[in-house]
Amino acid sequence: MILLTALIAGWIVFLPSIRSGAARVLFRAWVPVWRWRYFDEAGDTGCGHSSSDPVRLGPAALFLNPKGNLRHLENTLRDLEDGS
Amino acid sequence: MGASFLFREMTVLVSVAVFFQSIELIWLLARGQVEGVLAVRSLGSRLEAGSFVGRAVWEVLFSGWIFAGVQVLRIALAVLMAVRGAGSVASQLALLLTFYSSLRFGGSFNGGSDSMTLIALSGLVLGAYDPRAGLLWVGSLSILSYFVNGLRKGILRDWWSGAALEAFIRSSEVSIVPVQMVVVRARWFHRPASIAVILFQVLFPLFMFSKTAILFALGVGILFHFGNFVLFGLNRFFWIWVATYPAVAFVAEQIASRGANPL
Repeated sequence: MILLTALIAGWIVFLPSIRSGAARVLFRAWVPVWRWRYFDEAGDTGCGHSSSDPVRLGPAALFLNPKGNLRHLENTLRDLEDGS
Repeated sequence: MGASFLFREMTVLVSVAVFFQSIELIWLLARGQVEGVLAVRSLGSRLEAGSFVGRAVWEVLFSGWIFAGVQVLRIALAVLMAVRGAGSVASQLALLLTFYSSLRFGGSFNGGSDSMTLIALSGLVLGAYDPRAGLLWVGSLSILSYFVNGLRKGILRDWWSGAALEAFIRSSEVSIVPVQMVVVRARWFHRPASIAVILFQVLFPLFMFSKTAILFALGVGILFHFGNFVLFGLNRFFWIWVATYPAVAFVAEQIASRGANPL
């Protein structure tokens, strides 16, 4: 299988230079169902950051919402840096 | 409805979700907005790439052109899977490239929606060999995601009082603003809506035991995720969770058939 080969090759190539970071990412991204945080919509919005520059959406954003999702990412990264 | 039909439906819906996700990322890349939020240079430390060589490799691997090329490839795979079905090669590639895309942002671009996308795509990989296995995998995890989230809300007093919901809606920076304002002002609405969300999520697994109940649950689910888009701008959640609904219907069918003939 392509996937299995790619994963094994990737780990062999990168293992000397990667410690646990990518492994944590792999685990976190895959099946964290018991870690509710990763399915919690409210948490994913990084709510709690008040801003004078909200992203105002139109109906088309249901399909494509790059600005809004980027704002979510900014807020989430800020939360991670703040340790919240 | 047979497993093959439901698996086909799930494949199309997952492909739609991946399609829109990739276009969003290309849009952001084209405007140079990704690097400003999370520079490739910082990935090495996030992923704990211990050596200079490791960090340099990451910077090349996630450079703009390669990342854009991967998104174009994801779009092509999404179209291919929607039209031709989730063959084992296409679905494995789509899964691998989606994981790569998540890595670019240190784990995920949009939190839970990326996680569920990976789960859905891994279901397509499984389903290319056995549609029933793919549907059961995705369906059971989708059901569990509602239950776990409901449980988590259910242990917090602020969710039962409506205060948490009001606070989240009020502080949302991404929304259809006129609707958000109306909902914020309708203070009578916050507590019953919050209780309804908790009960819907916690009781979600029970809806599997009745055909009428599962149809009701899926309809409410669509409205729930649409509401999350309107109030929080969570469009990706809408598409990927709805994409799991054929799998949820399959799980419900299996439970119903066991109930009709327990032996």
